[in-house]
Amino acid sequence: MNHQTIIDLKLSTINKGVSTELILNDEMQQYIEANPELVKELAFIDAFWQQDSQELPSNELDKRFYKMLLQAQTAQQSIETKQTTIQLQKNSIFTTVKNWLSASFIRPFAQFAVLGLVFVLGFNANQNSNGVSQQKQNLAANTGIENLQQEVSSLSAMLALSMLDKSSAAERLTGVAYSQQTDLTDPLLMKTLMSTLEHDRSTAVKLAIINTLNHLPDISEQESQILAFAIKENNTLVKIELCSLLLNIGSPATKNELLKTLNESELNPDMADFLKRINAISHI
Amino acid sequence: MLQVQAGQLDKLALLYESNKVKLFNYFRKKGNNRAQSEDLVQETFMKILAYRSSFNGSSTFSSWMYGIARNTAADLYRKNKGNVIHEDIEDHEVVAEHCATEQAVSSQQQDIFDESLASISAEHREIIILSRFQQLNYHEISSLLDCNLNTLKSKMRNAISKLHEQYNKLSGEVQ
Repeated sequence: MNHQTIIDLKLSTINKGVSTELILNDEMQQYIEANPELVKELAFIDAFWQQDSQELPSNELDKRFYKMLLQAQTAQQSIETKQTTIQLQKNSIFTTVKNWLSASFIRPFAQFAVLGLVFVLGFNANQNSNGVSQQKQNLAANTGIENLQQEVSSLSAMLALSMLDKSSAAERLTGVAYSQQTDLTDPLLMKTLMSTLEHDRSTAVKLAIINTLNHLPDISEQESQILAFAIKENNTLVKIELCSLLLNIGSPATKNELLKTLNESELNPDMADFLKRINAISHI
Repeated sequence: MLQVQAGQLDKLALLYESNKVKLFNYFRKKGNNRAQSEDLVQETFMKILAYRSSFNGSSTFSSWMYGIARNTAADLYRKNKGNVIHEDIEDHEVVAEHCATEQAVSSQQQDIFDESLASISAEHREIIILSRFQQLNYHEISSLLDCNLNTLKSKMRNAISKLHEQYNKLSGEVQ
């Protein structure tokens, strides 16, 4: 027996969380009594384990956590709604076809067509059984990939929302990058991006958001807001990019309104010239 | 956690409520200031949510959570290139329920414990924090730190010995 055995025993007893009280046999007791250093060591362990100090985090942490959770739940609901809509659309197409086939005047033709189809399918299935099983596997894999993509998109949206809320411009830029990994159909994410575009102090963040919007197939829902931002924007670079965005992918009505407003306002000659050139290119 | 995995995200709130103080104190004991520790708790829960599908139940939720917490703290350390801000001992808001004199003595002892803990090596400190403050058992700690159980026990003994040494130095018992 040595110090090590007794200290190990003490620490194991404490670690199991049973008690800090060490159960000792006579031999151990005698050994401890004969070694005052060991007594001190054990007393120190007791004292250290008995001190009870816990700091409490601020309420701000709770606020931030619940905000993040709410954003995650909203992102999840948005994905679920989208999936339900797609399912309903699929069902509705199926029901339409079924109703059409069961209409009394075409029923005999439909039955004949179905029989013919079954015959052709059976004939082909016999010859291409391997091909069909391959198709089934592909279909299952595609569904799996689709689900996985939606999951990734939901996580990216959640991360983007959280990062866009950060105080550091670098982290907000990361948030914009995450938003580019989604399909930008989450309304909350789009709202946050537009709000950041309007209020952010960092030119880089604003430019990154404009770049993200540039990749959207359709900006009709955001056009009026972008137009308002373009008009009131003071930063020349951001203003030019906003105007380019509208001139490149905006609707003709918005383009006209933008050009009209810009003609009325006193623009820097270089900027006016630049916008003219962009407008000319956008007409090609 | 399995319910969170199944899509019941509101259940994460229960996990947060039962672990936030422990996790916050874990980061504090590792030498981060209050603001950093709160950021790290937030970051940890964000990662728990993001990586929820990777929890497979082979370890306890606590050890999985502390695995994420350790990596999050390591990321911050790398980002700051080791400049983790240590607050002065005086800044600690110690919650203790004792009478005024006892509180003063206990608070002084507490400060020395904290200072001793801060002055030992990061590896030793980690083991003590996980065992003493986060109440993980040896099996959980050994899987978290990826080390053998006997090695862990030996490290724990050394860590306590170093801590005692530092405590004696700081409290003036050894001159």
